[in-house]
Amino acid sequence: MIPEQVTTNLAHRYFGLGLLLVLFIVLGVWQALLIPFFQGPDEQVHYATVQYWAEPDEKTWPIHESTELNRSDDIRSYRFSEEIREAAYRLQFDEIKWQTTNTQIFVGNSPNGQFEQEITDNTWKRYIDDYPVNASGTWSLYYYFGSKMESFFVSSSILNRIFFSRLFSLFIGTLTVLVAYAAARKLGWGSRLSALFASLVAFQPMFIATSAIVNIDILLVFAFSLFFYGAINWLTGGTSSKSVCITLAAVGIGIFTKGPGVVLLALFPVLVAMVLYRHFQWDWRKHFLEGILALFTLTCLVFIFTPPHILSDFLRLESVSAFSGPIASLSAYAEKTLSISAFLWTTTTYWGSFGWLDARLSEGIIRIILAIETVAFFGLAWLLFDRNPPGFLPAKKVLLFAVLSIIFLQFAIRFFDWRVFDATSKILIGTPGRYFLPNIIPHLLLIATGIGYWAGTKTRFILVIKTLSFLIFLLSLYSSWFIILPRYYL
Amino acid sequence: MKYRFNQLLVLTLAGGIGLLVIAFLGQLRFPDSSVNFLGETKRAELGKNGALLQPVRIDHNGLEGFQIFMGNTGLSFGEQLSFKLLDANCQVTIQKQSTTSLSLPPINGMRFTFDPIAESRGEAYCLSIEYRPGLIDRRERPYIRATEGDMFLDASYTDTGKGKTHVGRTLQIRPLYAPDTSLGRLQELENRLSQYKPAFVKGLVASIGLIGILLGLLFFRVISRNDD
Repeated sequence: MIPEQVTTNLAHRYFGLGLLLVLFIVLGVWQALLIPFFQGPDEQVHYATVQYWAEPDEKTWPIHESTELNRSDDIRSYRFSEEIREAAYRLQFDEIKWQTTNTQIFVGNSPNGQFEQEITDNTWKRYIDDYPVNASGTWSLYYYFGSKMESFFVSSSILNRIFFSRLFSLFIGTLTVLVAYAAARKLGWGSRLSALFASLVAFQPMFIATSAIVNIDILLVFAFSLFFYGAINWLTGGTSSKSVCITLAAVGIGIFTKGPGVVLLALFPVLVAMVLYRHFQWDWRKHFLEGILALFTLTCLVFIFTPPHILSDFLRLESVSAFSGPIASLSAYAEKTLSISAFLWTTTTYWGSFGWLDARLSEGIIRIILAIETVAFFGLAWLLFDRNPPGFLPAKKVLLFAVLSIIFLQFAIRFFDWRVFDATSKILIGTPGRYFLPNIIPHLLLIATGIGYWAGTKTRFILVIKTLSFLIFLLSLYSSWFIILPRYYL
Repeated sequence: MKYRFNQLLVLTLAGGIGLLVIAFLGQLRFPDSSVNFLGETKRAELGKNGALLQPVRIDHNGLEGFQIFMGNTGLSFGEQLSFKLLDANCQVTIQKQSTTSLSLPPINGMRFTFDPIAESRGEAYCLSIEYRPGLIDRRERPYIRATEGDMFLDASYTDTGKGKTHVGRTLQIRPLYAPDTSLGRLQELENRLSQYKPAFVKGLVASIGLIGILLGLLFFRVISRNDD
């Protein structure tokens, strides 16, 4: 093949992917501008933490110790920098947050807001002088890199810096779309089918919204996605050093991003076990007892070698239960969380609950999505018992790992939620759907596969994925133009 | 078959987007944002008999309707909401409109719209909202959101069914205005989107959203051309 042909083929192969990435970036920038600043969930805390991390180690300004409690309805009572407090106040943070019928006060016939000049004048202090600070106590790579960006754009106005921080999230979101493409390629799908699969991720409304705000969640989504890609590598291609490095890097990123990242640490031995099982062609019936013993030994080792204070923090062993016993606590928790309405709420907040969870997709749309997922579920169940599943669909071991990944994260989030409930008898953390976004690639892969099973042939499977991609793109447009935009501007 | 499907897909997408754009532009009116509903949220229940009446004074010319925030939204089959704009004495009907479960879903709250009233600044009107139940009785009555707070000491609304006037409360309603031309409406939208945004994107925000739509069409066109 002559060099020109090679170049043409490469351009042809990657044009769809390139276009998808550009499209995702444009949709992300659009939403980063659409959602008013500080109106993402906890965005003010995440940005305050980024700014706090950007402060010099040596504090050259007077520090006041404060004993006053901050009030949740008054942003100016928070121990953030003066700049964040005052800017958020002028952006009517408290008036708009959770108040679905309130918006900013707009100035007629002008592109500038009433207090914009005051905000962009850069006269407020950019460091925290009231301690203890209300910044997040989590050590996260997101804050580390975010603080570097904050320092780099130090001379810009706060509006620019928040926007650039949002673009940093968008960059991580773009990498996640790329990982979705790479995962699909590893499954043996061609470049266009892989781009179509990646588009399901790229157009998921909540994923775009999470990529368009300042929040550490997006890095956790990336860590889980990278781990799943590494797992597909292991499960389909063998234990190359590349696969090992990718999964270990993903575990590292996950742990140093946010608490639920520890789920990857638990998934890692499961992945290793699956790979060993496949490698040695073990008969699980013969080695069942050894498997149980290995799991028991591993659990003991974790408990022995993990410092007690970490285990105690992690499992919240020190907290006093508000119930008569674990059974009573678990029953009360199940009663509150295992209901159709709780499931619908989690589903709604997984697919589209924007801003401070106060601009949502309608229940009708969620029911259509659930109907599609139900069809996929039955297809998937059928496939697992099919001795000759269609060759164009992912191998059963990949699907099994996707299911395990979802179960592990579900269990971890519900476990933490229950531990807090056990101590307070209140649902304080809850299970908003965005907590489950880290499994977006396994989840959408299962849906695509489940529906693909009914398609029967690869040609029809591509048409199905194309239709799903088309529907989810319309859903993303609907979300931004008919839900988010009217919520904040009309 | 594959070729036809791809063509159909792109055409449907273009048609779907066209419909969304038409629906969006058709409803593009701008609620008065000068007052937020700060205070205690209440329910103004819509009874089977009578209407809710609220006096309103308009601050600008070109009144084109009202945005009305209804609780537990979504009218079920047979239910109907009737809106009327009456004179200051709540006697003479100036404009009216009704909405049912079959009406186009509104964007952000119910919208009672009418032809613009050119000289509406300083005028006093009365807004009437009347409910007609459907075939199936609701477990919870539909209601209009209301607010009680210091900002609304002069406001009041009357529930004619119960014969009760609530003083110091307002229904959560906002007057709607819009520039005369489509271009003016788009410009006003862009102005709102641009406020409190970085200076280098002011004037470009809506365009970025539109580019996203066009790129989406291009993506599906390209991706449909060849299959693996």
